Amino acid sequence: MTATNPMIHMRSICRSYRQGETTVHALRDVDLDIEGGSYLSILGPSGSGKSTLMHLLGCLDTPTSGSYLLEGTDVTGLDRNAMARLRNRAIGFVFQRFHLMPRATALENVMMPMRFAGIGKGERISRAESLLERVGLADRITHRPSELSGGQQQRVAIARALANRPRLLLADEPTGNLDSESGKQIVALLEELHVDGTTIALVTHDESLAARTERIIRMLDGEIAPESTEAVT
Amino acid sequence: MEVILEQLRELWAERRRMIWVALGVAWGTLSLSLLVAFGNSFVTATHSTMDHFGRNLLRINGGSTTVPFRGVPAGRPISLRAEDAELLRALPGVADVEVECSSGGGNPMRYGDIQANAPLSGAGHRFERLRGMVPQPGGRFLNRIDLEERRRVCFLGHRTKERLFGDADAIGETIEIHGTPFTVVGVRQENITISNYNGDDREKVTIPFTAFLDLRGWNGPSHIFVKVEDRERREEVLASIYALLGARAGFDSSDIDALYVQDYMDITDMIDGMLDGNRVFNGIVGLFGLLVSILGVMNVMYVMVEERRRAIGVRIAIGARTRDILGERLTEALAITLFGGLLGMLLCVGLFLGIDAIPLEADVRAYIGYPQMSYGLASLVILILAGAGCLAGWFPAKRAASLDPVEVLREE
Repeated sequence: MTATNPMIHMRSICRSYRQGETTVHALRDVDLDIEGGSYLSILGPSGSGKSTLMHLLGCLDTPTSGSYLLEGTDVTGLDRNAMARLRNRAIGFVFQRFHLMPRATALENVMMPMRFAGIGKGERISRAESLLERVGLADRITHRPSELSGGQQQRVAIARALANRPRLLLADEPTGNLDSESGKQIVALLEELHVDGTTIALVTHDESLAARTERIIRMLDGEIAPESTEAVT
Repeated sequence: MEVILEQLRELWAERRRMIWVALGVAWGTLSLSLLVAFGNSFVTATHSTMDHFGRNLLRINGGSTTVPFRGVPAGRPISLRAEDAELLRALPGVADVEVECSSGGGNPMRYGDIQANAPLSGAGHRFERLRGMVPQPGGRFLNRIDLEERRRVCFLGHRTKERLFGDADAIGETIEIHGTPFTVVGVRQENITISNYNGDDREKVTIPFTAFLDLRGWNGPSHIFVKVEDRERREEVLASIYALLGARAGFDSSDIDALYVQDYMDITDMIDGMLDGNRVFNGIVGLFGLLVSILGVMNVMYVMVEERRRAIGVRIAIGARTRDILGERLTEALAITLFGGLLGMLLCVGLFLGIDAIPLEADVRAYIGYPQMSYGLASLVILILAGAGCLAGWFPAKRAASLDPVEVLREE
């Protein structure tokens, strides 16, 4: 699938690792375009390369070869700090295990990316409060992660991912650690965000979750399988 | 501020471990502060003993010639005269001059039935300020009239006063020196001088120079003290002295041995050098003590980085730059170091107050002085601690900042 001015434009992306004497080819010659505002899932079994692809999409990692343009910027030549700045401003991450700071309150967790962005404290607080209200945790802002349920923690993590108003939200198995009811709430929240215009990419092996997205990218042995036209709106 | 509070909260969560680490830093700081403070106090006390003797002094004694001069062969003894003092006083660069006759410790003194031997000095009235002959309250040093009228008055070193009078007041009392009565007009303040000649100043009995000549039958001074205005110009002053006395006494002004000159500035320079060396040594020993505790902090910081790999990795993933991670880790290291350091400094202050409260012999106190946590020392220690804290945190922080977030996230 190609687009005229896609938000994400990857060409001939390869990523390989050395493991002892052998080289593992995690991604092989991947071409991928993602339109701004789309809602897609990256689906595949363990070891298929979907996490590696997400790390590359999220600028956590750099490809061994190939080109990657994010909103027209070639990210393959950026240094560590420039990549960090890009992640901080343009990309939000939601992790399967939430990865909240255990000794910080929900509000402080959400404020953290804004601190790295150099946003003033007053704005950080008001924006974090607003985000927590949006994810339905207005009454939990002073709670620490240990005082929140799994679903609530994931909602805090989503609020944190949205802190710097990213154009791209990457979620790695966002419902993988949640009960079905909490999972549904998180999916509903992600869909709301998509409706509001955020580009969302989910990494999952859950077919039912993937089926709810507009586009499914199937990964197998480090390659993207040809896409079908199946999609759920 | 937010980062600091956040890191303090992290440290508080690890408070048991942190307290032990901070105590290690406190111990290192205590050692460093004690060594530096005692070194400083020793320097102050030693300078004080130098001041008690007098600063910028040359002691000129007669010597004997080593080269023939105007037909007179070498080997001629050179004697000083009382009038030489007036000539020397007029030389440029000379601040003050005074004569002295001095004989060692075998001078019999008697007060009533109590007898003692003590060093005896015959000096001019300028000795009071030139040689630090400061009287205890209620008494005085010798004055010009004592000199002019050849009065039989004396000024006692405080130890001789104690031997003859015990705790009783000596002022106005009469003692016999070599069987001749002298009235006590003053007792020297109790202090130690860095240099003594012909007996300890604390024991020396001083009588008017003129009275000494009468008593002992001497013709002139045994030496003359010259105080120079500027120690940097002492060579120039010394050359003038040789030229002046050479012309008066008839010797070649380049004949060094015609006079015997004791340069007390050389002695004080040497002592200052030793004191500086001692201070450097103390500082190095203290720094090594602190270094050991800083290594402890560094070790714990490394452990904490390993334990918090995931938290650090997530921070990096959500946009923390190298400087953010470095800042967080350095803040932690600095907080531990400064907390431990302040604790050590407080212990040190407490120790100094305790030492001050111990009743020490005056002689001991004169050498150790009053060690204290001065602002200068406190600033120095805080500066060293800040540097040490940065050192302790830097390498663990670098390791933290270089963590690969992908690798850390994969560790799940």
